[in-house]
Amino acid sequence: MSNSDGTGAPGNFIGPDVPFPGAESSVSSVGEESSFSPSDKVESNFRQGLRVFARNKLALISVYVLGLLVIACFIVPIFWRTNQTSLLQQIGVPQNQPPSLHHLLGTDVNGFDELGRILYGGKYSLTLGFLAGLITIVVGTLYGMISGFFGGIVDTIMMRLLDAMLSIPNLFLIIALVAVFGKSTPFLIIVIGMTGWFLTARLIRSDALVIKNLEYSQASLAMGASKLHVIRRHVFVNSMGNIVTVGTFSVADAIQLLSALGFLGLGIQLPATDWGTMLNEGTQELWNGYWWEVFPVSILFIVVIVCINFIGDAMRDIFEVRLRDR
Amino acid sequence: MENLQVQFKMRTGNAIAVDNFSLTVESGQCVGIVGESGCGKSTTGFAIMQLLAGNGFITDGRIVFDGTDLATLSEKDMQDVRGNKIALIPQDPLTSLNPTTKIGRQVGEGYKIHRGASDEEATKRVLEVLEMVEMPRPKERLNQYPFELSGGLRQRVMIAMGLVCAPSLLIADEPTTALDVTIQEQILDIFDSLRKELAMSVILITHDMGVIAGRTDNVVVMYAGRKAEENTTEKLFATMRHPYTQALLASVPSIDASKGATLRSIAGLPPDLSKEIMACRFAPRCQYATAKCHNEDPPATVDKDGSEYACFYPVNGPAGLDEVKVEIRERTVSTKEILRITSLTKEFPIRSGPLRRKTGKVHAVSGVSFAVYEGETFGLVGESGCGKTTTGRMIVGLEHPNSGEIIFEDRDVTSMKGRATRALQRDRQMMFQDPYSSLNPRMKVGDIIREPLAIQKVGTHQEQVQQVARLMTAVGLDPASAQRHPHEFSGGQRQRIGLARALALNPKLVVADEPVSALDVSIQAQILNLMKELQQDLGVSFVMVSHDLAVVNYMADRIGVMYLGEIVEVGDSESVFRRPAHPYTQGLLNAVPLPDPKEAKNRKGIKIEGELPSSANPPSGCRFRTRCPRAQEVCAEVAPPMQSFGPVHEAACYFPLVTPVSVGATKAVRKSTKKSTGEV
Repeated sequence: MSNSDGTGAPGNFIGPDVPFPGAESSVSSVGEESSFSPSDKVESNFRQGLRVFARNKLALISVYVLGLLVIACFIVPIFWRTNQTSLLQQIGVPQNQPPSLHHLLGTDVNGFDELGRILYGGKYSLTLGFLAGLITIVVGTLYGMISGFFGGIVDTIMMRLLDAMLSIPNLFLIIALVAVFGKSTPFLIIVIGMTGWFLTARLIRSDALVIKNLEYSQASLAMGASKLHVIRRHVFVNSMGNIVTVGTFSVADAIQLLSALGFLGLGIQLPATDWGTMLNEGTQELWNGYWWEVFPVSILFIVVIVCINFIGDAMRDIFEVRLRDR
Repeated sequence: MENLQVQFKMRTGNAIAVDNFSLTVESGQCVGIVGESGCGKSTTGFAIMQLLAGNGFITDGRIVFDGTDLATLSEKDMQDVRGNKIALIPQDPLTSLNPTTKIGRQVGEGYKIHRGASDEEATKRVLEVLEMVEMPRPKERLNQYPFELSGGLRQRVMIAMGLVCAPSLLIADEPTTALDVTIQEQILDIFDSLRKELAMSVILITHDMGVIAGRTDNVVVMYAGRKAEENTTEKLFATMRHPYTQALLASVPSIDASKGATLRSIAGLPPDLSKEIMACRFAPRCQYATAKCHNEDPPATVDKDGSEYACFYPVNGPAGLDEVKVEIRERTVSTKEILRITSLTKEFPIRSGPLRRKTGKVHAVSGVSFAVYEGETFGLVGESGCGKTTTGRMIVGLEHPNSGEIIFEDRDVTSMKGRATRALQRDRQMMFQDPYSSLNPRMKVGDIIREPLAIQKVGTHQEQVQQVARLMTAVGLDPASAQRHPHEFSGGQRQRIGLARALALNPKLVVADEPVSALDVSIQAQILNLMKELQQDLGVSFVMVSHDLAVVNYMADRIGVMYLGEIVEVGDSESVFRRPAHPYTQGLLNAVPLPDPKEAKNRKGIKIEGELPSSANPPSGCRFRTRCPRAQEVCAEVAPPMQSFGPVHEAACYFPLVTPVSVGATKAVRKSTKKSTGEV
């Protein structure tokens, strides 16, 4: 949500009483005493939000698709068992088999069932992406909010520090860290999370800068409220839209980054795997014509990223109070 | 323009923004279109230019300009008309100029496009038009960027842009709404002289009856997309027929208005234009409406005065005093001081360079002293940038003064910090200007009003909720709507919420920063009346910060006039407005547009020229001297002291407009001003 919109821009997007976008004076409302009958039911915030979300059909489809994928990755393997953990058991199993009734998507270079492998790798990709994204958003929000709200010298120091960190290419930093400290899964999550929050912090900072100077924050201060109260009650709540939206996108980013690491051979290690690592292995076999080791996993990967982005878009609308029905 | 109809496609159906609207503008004529916001004034203007928003269409009628119907022209032909034969001057000069293009190029652009002029020819023409709009130092401006100019100068640039191709029709859409009264006066004067020189027609779109009165030949009053009334300006103001015109005029606070009267306001709000209306559109808000008005649509009628109106029961002339509910309110203003501020100063550092080193400072407030008594309203007026808002913010503790004292309820609150101030905040509250940004859009209205109670931990949750309901009733809102969000309320209702919030803690002092400047006149009146009423009931003191002298005159018992961070005149509102001593006060008063065509045209006296000097580098001596018609050498040397002009009336000027009480007394007063400005 953009705050400049909230400060009295005339263009309400819906609502029958404002049929002249940008045409009248800065007062968009037309008059007084629009009557509410007390019997009008007031919906909870949450339900109103859901309604706005549901208006976005693409996002709704995305939720279903992602939901199906999560079920497939986390629950289906419980019922449909394939060996994904023991390399020893794979000795003697034919490798790089094309899709057949027995192996719906063929087998890979180690003879693992490709479909089972995708589900197994998806579990890692999604979990790691989600956790890393969570770290990104928590750290970024805290950092940005402190910097923006307190301003002055605090802001200057924090932002210059951020600039310094931003000047190091992300992937390069991660590769260096992984090379030094190893490739354990929790470490990967932390590294990806801790290197992804810089831009988030900037965005949230600019939000905080604007909101703390808006009149409602000032009014709160004039009532004798503490800074913490203003941050919690006004700044945080009103940048929620951006926080959630950026949060969704950073999950997508983290999944992508993890895949990039996997593709470079620095991701999850055998016998575990993730989609990036699978792509890395698959592309090496692509020249032999083993397409089933590349395309299914890359298509799924694209689908997940696109879905998350659609959902992020719709999330932004949830927090745009003015988009709600009157 | 004949029977124009404009529709907007909306998700909920089509809204008819302008309906069956006819208008004739003869060459050299100035026609005013007036009405509340959302009644289709600007839409009409945009329709003429064929610049309606993407979902807007002209569905009926013709717009005939010089024999051609603009509504049927192709986009390409229309481009030849726009800027060339018809020019539009938009409302907001701050956002209407491209910030990355130099003034010279921006103004010359249209000339090059329409006349195929070379760069040199264009520059020559630009200089010409900049001189026409009385731009100071036009040559320098060519190479300046918009951000280097003030709002008034930018509006001049906008007008110059409109004039560059010498159009025969100029549409000015609220050209002065964003400007100070003094600058507004200057800009309107330019319109007037240009119209005479160039024989240009002007359509002046505004919500301000005062602007219309002095400047136009004909006035069209618009309501809900229809024409409510049309007549020549003088006749319309003298013998209006439509009740809407009458009510609109009655709700304008005038600087001559008597104190005790309650301002008339128009109840209700304009109808929803997306629904078909089969009755008189004004009927639900009209005090004369009968069953006939609610069932039939009145046809346009022309009477013998030449007035065209659409009403079954026309009124005759402005609302007389007998029709206005007059309540002489004897208010008891005690002599107990609630607030005294002494030589308050606030400076903001100007920082530049990578290390953000201090390179100068803005003297926002320099040495302001005044007192506010229990239960009174103190008005603080002046142009924007004079430091009145900063003063208000310091009073409520949102800003810390660099020096000086704020004594609130006999305690020095200047340097108080932490816990002690928090308790004090209960007694001083602030009401804000912008009804949109002053309410947290994500909080429910009940929670917004309850916030001060929660912060100060007053009572239990249950008691707080009850208090919120009482407050909402007090400001005229339905307590049942406490569960709603601010976006569901109109501007005026939001301002009521803001008032309820400011009053929640039962404060002794409320600083109201331009509380009605963002509202339509008809709604302004409601809020001002409400504030007066509540003051009567609660005995709260107001410090009213406003640039609108008429509003301050209506509200305030005493008035302080600020100029560039200093108070130049202070006194009871009667003396300050009737017998101003300082030339600046007189100039401000003269710049207020009067909603009376005869008086507006005959007005003479001091006019304030030029712009407010930079407060980073204020003039020496008397700060007003650079714009003062009476300034002499002495004014540049030493700042004039406060002189007394009456029991509670003081001004700082060497050459005042009225004689000081006594020359001998001046010195004594001067000494006493230091510790007691404006004491009875």
